[in-house]
Amino acid sequence: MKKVFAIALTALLLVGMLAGCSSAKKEVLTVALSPDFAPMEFVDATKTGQDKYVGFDVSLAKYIAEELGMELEIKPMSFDACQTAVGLGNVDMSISGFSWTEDRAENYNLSDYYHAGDNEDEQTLITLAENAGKYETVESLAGLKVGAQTASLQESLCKEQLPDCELVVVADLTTALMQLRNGDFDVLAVAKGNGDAIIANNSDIAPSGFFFEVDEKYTGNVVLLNKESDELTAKVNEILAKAEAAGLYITWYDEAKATAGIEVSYDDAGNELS
Amino acid sequence: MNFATIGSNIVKLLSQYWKVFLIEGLSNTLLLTVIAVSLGALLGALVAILKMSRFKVIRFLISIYIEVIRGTPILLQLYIFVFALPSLLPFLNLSYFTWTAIALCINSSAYVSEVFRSGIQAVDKGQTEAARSLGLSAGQTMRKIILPQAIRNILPALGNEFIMILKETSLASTFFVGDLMTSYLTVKGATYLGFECLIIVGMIYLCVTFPLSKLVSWFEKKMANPNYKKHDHKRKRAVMEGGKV
Repeated sequence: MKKVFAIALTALLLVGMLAGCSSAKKEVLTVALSPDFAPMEFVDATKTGQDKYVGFDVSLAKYIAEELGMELEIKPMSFDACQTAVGLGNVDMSISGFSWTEDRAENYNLSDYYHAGDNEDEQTLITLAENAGKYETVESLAGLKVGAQTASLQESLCKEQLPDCELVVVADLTTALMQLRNGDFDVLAVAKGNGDAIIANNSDIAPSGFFFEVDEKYTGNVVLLNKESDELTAKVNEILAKAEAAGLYITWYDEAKATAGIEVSYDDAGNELS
Repeated sequence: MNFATIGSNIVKLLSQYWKVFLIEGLSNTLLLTVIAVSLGALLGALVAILKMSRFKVIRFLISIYIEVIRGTPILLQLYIFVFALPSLLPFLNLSYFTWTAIALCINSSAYVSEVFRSGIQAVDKGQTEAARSLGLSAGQTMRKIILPQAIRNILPALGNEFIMILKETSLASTFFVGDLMTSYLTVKGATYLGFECLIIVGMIYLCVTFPLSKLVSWFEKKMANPNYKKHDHKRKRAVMEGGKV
């Protein structure tokens, strides 16, 4: 029995050493993201391996890895798991459409803002196609039920700007869509980019015509890093500034939208097309 | 809810993403399940033997192992195996798929060990007494008298464990390991057709689990009725014609 155990342990150590050797070639930047959120990060089913992860945040991750001279490895996991992974130091960072919140700033290192087109700049309400354009003002929304994703920017916006509405909190956008159809609430608060993606694929959903007033600090996304990696955070901020100066954000966003099958709403100069 | 569009959306999704669901998703789900149950059964057998050991300390340690694993949610165990263990064992450079497979193995081993133990203990004590009084050693009694009878209780329960684990692999989608539920997440993330994706994935799960559960219950009957297999032509015919045995 002892012998068997010893042999098993040796084998395990050997495997570990071999695995360790093979990974020591080039430094790898591990980035966690939740690829179920077009156009920010999603899966292109026609591709395999690491190439299948596409979207704005993936372009950004590639750019950061390139600038750092590292090899990018995307670690896909659920949105919750992304935060856990960064907190535990299992990944170097997470780029997954995070908005700035006070709680996050307390527990993580957050980068400077980056702007993914109209995804976070504009926050809107969507509704059933038969109610399209019915709820354009705060007054027309009074007394209605409004859905928003839990712990999201949309939830805080609803509380802040639609005090006369009854807020219904939902777990994720897919469930929210089903609930909207079910009549659990009349309108659903989403970022415009996500709303566009939903409407492009669901003919029974339409914009309500209402837009939230979005405070400057909410309009960007941030990269989530471990509390202890100050050095990397500083480097990421430098890289973000460089990308912004080079005007890369709009290119990436248009690419992501085109891949996701959403009509591109900006021209090359960054002006919105009507 | 508009059922006409749901139908056409499902057709659209299947024609575009059938590979993601059937080739990637289903094969990974089956692979995870086969690994978890087969290695889990081996480990479970070991755990069951130790649980019935003569030494109190070993019995105590093993019951802690079983209670901890059966008493905590599998999602929590997945988190620990995927995030905590790689930090503790940094020299083991394994993929998330491997870690989730190991977690499912360990989880399955706790359940399977109880299946083994109860299967063995369900064999009447008189069998042991009779065997020992006829001069068989403890080992011989176990191998020649108890285990052949215990197998009858164990195998169908193992089949059920397979079906259970098959469904539980869906939790591994938290780490996008490529199983069926991951296919659901990725396709609905790209298309925002969540309900339609759920229906597709549900149908695939059902297409696998339904025949399996039928097979298990057929097997269970056969095991409970040892004569079933013998050359009893009348009985065989009655079964084939759908009659009751």
